[in-house]
Parts: sequence; structure tokens; C-alpha cells
Amino acid sequence: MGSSINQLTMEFPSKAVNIGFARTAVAMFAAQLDFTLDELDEIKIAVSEAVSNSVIHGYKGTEGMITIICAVGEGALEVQIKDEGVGIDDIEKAFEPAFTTAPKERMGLGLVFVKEYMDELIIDSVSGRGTSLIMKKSPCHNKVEV
Amino acid sequence: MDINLKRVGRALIVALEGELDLATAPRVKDTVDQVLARDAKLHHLVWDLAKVEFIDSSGLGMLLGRYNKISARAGSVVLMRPAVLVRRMLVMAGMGRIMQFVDSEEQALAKIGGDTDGQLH
Repeated sequence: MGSSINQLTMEFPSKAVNIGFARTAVAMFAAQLDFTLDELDEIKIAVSEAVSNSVIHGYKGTEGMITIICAVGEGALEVQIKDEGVGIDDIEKAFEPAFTTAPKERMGLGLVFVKEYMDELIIDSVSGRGTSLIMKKSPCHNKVEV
Repeated sequence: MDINLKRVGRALIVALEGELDLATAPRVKDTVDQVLARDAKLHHLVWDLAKVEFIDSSGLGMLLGRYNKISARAGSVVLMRPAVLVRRMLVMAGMGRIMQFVDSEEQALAKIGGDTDGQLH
């Protein structure tokens, strides 16, 4: 975010136990904007899904580092979640509900929830080199109906 | 994540407390699967979700996996008292089409057809 007024960077190993910390920290950072409690819960879900994707799909059970950069500015929150895992071969397919490359009991809804709960989602992925996911959200009262 | 189990006749009631995600769902899965594997007479599953504060697709996938196991026993799965956010996620994932929502244990047991052998354990 070019004109951010506040920023937070976190880096942690791709352990499932860190997912709860990541979503709570991002929601606490986001609370400096006028998000409702429901919107903060939606941000938590989006972060949880994105970080889970890095753990499950990016690193496939091996350990690597996940970086989260949050910024607020111009009444909006931007969250970037990066890994250096295997990357996504087919980003378009990854957005399809019920599509998953993970074995058993995955619903393939992770990115569907991120899209549903955030205003904007940009995915940049290079096969074998990792994935960067940028998501943005503004408090609902800042949004102008057109 | 706290897991409390109770058997009522042929139903297993699983009360969860905490956040259901990739870190916690595997323990719930293992605990419930062990009980189901030990007792082939258990045909129904009631999830008491009143104290679940958060769920994401990892938690939803775990619930779906247990639904598939109970369906193989021709039983029913009931979702009891989910909070607003959790209920919203369950509905978005389509759980409402295959599991029933109820507000109390009495309603849950009624939904599974009173199939409890009249026993409380």
C-alpha cells in the first residue's frame, strides 16, 4: 500500500498452531479502522484460510516461512500473505468451489471464503517459487453504493 | 479446543469449546473416530457448537468427514446451537442441506427419531 499510515510485518514457520495467532493479530491490527465485529470476524476467516493454504498446499507438510504484511491507509486494510512453497499451477482452477489438490477431508472452499469476505483479492504465484496473496477490505460504512 | 463426549442411546453428542481450524480439527477428528470405531452401535452424531467461537474450512472439512462416516451407518448428523458466525459458515458450505440445525439437545434427539434406546449414559 503506497500511502499506508501504519504497517505490521510478521514472519513465522508454517505450523498449524500459528494460524490462530496470525488471524487474531491481523484482526487486532485491523481494529484501528472502523470495522464492525462481524467484519473483523470475516477478516479472521480470510487470514485463516490463506495461511492454512500456505501450510497445506504451499509447503505440503514440510516447514517453510510465511510472511504477513498488513497496512492501513485511506480507510482500507491491505493484507499480503506470502510463502515460498510449491506455488499454484492453475490459479483459475484454485478458485473453483470444491477444487482441492490436498488429500481427504478438504472442502476446496478456502479461496471461495477469502473472495466472499474480502473486497479484493490478488494472487501472484510462480510454480516452484511460492505464492503471494494480497487482499483488501474497507469498513462497510466507507463503501459507497453506486 | 475442549472436547466433551456423551452417549445417549445410539447417539454420540460431541460438545466442542474453542476455535476449530487446521490446528485443532485433527484432534477432534481422531477423538470422534476412535469412539465410532469402538462402538458400531453408534448411528447418530450431535455436534454441540454453542461454545465454538470460530470455524474455517478445515473445521468444516472435519465435520463433513464425520458426516460421511455416519451416513455409511445410515445415521443422522445434527448441528446444535451454532453461534451466528459459525452458522453462517456452515450454511455457506452447504451443511444445512445434509445436516439439521437445532436449538437444544431435546430437539436434537427428536430429530434423530428418538432412536436412543431410552438409555442415558
